Formats: sequence, structure tokens, C-alpha cells
Amino acid sequence: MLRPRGKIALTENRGLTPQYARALEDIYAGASNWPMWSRLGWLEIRRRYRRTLVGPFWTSFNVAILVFSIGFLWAALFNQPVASYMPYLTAGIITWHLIASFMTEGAAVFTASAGLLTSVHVPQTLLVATMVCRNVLVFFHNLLIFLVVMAIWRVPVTWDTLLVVPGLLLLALNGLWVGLLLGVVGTRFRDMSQLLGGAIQIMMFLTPVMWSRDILKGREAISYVIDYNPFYHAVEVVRAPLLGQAPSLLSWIVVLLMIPCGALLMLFVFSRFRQRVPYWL
Amino acid sequence: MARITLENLYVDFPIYGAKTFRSELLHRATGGFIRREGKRQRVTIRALDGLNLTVNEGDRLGLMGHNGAGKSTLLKVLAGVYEPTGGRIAVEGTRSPLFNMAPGWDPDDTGYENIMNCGLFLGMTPDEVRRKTPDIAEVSGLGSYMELPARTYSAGMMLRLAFSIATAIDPEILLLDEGLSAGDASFEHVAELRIKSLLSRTRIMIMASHSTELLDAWCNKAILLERGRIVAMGPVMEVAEIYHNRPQDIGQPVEVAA
Repeated sequence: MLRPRGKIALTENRGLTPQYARALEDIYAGASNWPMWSRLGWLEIRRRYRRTLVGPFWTSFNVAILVFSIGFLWAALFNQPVASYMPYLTAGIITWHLIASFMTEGAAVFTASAGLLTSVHVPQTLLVATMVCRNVLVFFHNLLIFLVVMAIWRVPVTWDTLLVVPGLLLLALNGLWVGLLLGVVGTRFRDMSQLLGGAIQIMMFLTPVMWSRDILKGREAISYVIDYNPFYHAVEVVRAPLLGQAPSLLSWIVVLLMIPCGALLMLFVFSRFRQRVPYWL
Repeated sequence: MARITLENLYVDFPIYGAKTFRSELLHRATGGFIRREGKRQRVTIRALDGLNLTVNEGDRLGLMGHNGAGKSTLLKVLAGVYEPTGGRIAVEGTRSPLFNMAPGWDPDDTGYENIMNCGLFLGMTPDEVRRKTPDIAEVSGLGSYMELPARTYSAGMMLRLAFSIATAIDPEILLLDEGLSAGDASFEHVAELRIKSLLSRTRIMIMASHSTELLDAWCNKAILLERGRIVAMGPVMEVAEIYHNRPQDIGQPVEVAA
């Protein structure tokens, strides 16, 4: 299942000149092997929570504690009605959690599988696809908390709710290039994951996740700046549908355009340094 | 047709971080060269130094050499784990490395689940694994233990199951590091038949080992590696003769300024 399909595997050193064909081959072989990455993604979740009572729902449980402990306070702090703030906060946090995991786990995706990468030939993309799949599964577990919040504060279910599916799909595709890019860089520069942890936290405070854009009414200049924050749009394409609203066209366009732009950037790095990754482990 | 061609193959390991430098040096390349590349003083260790080699269908090639001579590195290059930093390698046929008999092994999974875990990483398809599962379970001789989590197994039982899974593959090119360990003596007879059958299904086998006995039993030719270079090639016993008569040159690492 992991065997290369080609009859002849020719590997030639070309230094750091980009090897686009081989990079694309790796991406195709890894991403198309869905039986393998879905299985591995699920196995890793099972492994992490084995013999715990509630299993993968531990992450959901932690989100629930967070939301219910700070939600009421922050609603008061931001002068927001609890009935609209709680669903907003919950949907925002679980979506942010997904996006942040793509980055933090992406930076460690190859170092975490060092044993495997140095004993058998696996497409590197397979490991990244596994990481993306696993975090989407975690998201679905967290979604349960949102369903509870939804029931308590009567969030409407509309046709727009269905948009959560394309929203998630776009985030997952972005997760793939993010994971490959950060994975390669993070393997070479081990300071990356540390740096990323802090940066992501700051990004979370700068992005409307815990606070809503509506607070900035009357200060249009700041509100305008938010449109330049790609994280805002990434959160929006999943959060808005969860709240029964359609994301703005701008958010769709930004998240959609991030895929080819990010993929090109990733390909620029991946085609040059893919073959170096096992050496850096 | 299975075939492997190496042309002027080089492998240089970059060493990062002064602290790991010393430990890496001792650990990985006691026989290699340390080179400093360019002005940035990047330290690299040359593990394979310009190899030329052709391995043809039917070859059972043994790799000899002292620690750090480059045996394992060469195996990993052949397996596609490391891509050469110089020269080229062409491989016709699918490669099955068995450096780790049980990749993906999970002590909390049952024996049956572990057959699937490892089988997939050893290159089998899910259907193939399912088809071979009864046979693997029988050879392992674990009986009803197969239904229990693998952490309840003794070390010997674990080894038997891992061995049974690993020898179930159908490799075109088989890559081994120090043979395949099968565990206790009572299993020896079964293991021997199992290995014979595996080798008969294999078109090319390449094995690194320190044991002349093992190499002589499994291989029909051998090469001797020293400091990443091939210094002898031929029938196993002849190469072994050269190997044993050479002074053990694990060599002081030589620093080469670029």
C-alpha cells in the first residue's frame, strides 16, 4: 500500500534545484491514499485517549470548561447578550482550535514520525494528510459542545448551516499546504514550534474569536484592518455557518485564494527541501 | 526484472548544533569524514563516498564492514529513506526494507490488529493483510493470545508475531539489517522454513551483518565497506577473508576543510 507505483525509481542528486515532479508525486501519493491516512488519523486519536473514560471527548470537555467558565464573564465584559455571545464564542474557539492545530502539529509532523521516516519510505504528504484528518476528527468531537450550546441558546438551523461542509473542506485543504510547509521548515529549524506557539496565541487575541467585530462599531478604521487578517476569514467560513449565517463573499474568496497561493509557496520550499527532511531528523 | 544501479553515490550527513555534534560523531560515523563546507563552516559527515555498484536479479548480496563503515546508510539509501547527496541510484522493482520488523506496532492493540498495523507499513494492501492473517496467526503460534492486547505478550511472543508478519511479505527487493530475529529455540525450525520461503520469493536480497556465518548462509556474494567506500567485492568467504585480515580501521574521523 505504501509501495511506489512506478516500475523504476530513479533518484539523482540535483542539489537544491527544485524537483517539482518528485514533490508533486509525493503529494499525490500521500493525499490520494485516503484509506491509509484516514485509518492512521483515527488510530492516533484512539492511541492518545486509550483507557481514558471519555476518550477523544476529553478535548471537547476542555473546550466546554473553557467556554462555560469564561463565557459569562466575557459576555458581561464585552457588553454582549449571553444568548448570542456563548454560541459565537464556542463556534469561534473550536474553529480556532482546528486552525491552530494545523500549524502547531504541522511544524512537528515530521519530527513526531522520525522513527517511521527513517525506517521505511513513506510519502511525506501521507503524514501531513494524517495530521489534517486527525484534527478534523477532533473538530467533530468538539462540535458536540457546540450542539449543546446550540440547544441551550436556540441557535437557528438554516440552509446556510450546510455551508459548514465547504468551509471545513477549504480549511482542510489549507491545512495540507500549511502542514507541508511548516513541517519541512520545522524539521530543519527546531525553534519554529516554540516560536509558533507564542505567535498563534497572539494571533488569537488579534483575531475576532473571543471578541466580536460588532464591538468595534463606530471605530471603522480598526474594523477595516480586520479584513486584512487571513485568520479572521479562515475562522469565518466555519463559524458563520455554525451560527446559521452565510460567511461574507470576501471571506470565501480569501480562504479560497489562500489555497493556490499557499500551495505555490509550499511547493517552492517542498520541491527543494523534501529530500533533505530525513537527513534533518 | 529487478535491478539496482548505483553510480558515483555520495551521502553526506549535515550536523547541526555544536552539542549534538560530538554525540552524532561517535554514534553515527566513526568511520566517516568530517568536512566543513564553505565559509559557513557547516559540518558534514561523509557516510558513503562515491559508490558504484550493480545488483542484478538473483543476487543475494551481503554487506560487510566495521561499525560506521556505511552499511546501514547504504541500506537506507537503497530503501529510499535517504536520497543521495551526490550521484544517482536507479531501482527496478519494489523495495521492502525490514530494518524494523514491526513498524506501526501498538502494544495496546490486539495481535490481530497489529497484523494490520504492521502489514500496511510493510507495504501490503488491506486485502492482502486480511488474506494472510490466518497464516500469520498460525505461524506465530500465539493461539488465543491473538485476541489479547500485545502488551500482555512476553518479549518472545512479541518477537514471534513480528517475525511472522514480516516474513509474510512478497518482496521483489528485500533489505535486511542483521538478518531477522525469530526468538526462542523452539521456534527455530519454523523460522528457518519461513525465511527460506521468504528468500525464495525474493528477487534481490541485500543484507548487512557483522556475522560471517549468517552472510555465508544467506548470501551468494558480498562487498566490504570501509569508510563509505567499497574495498572488496566477490564470493562471501573470500571477502570475509579480506575483512578479517585487515586491521580494524574504524579510523579517527578526519576533518577536511573545504
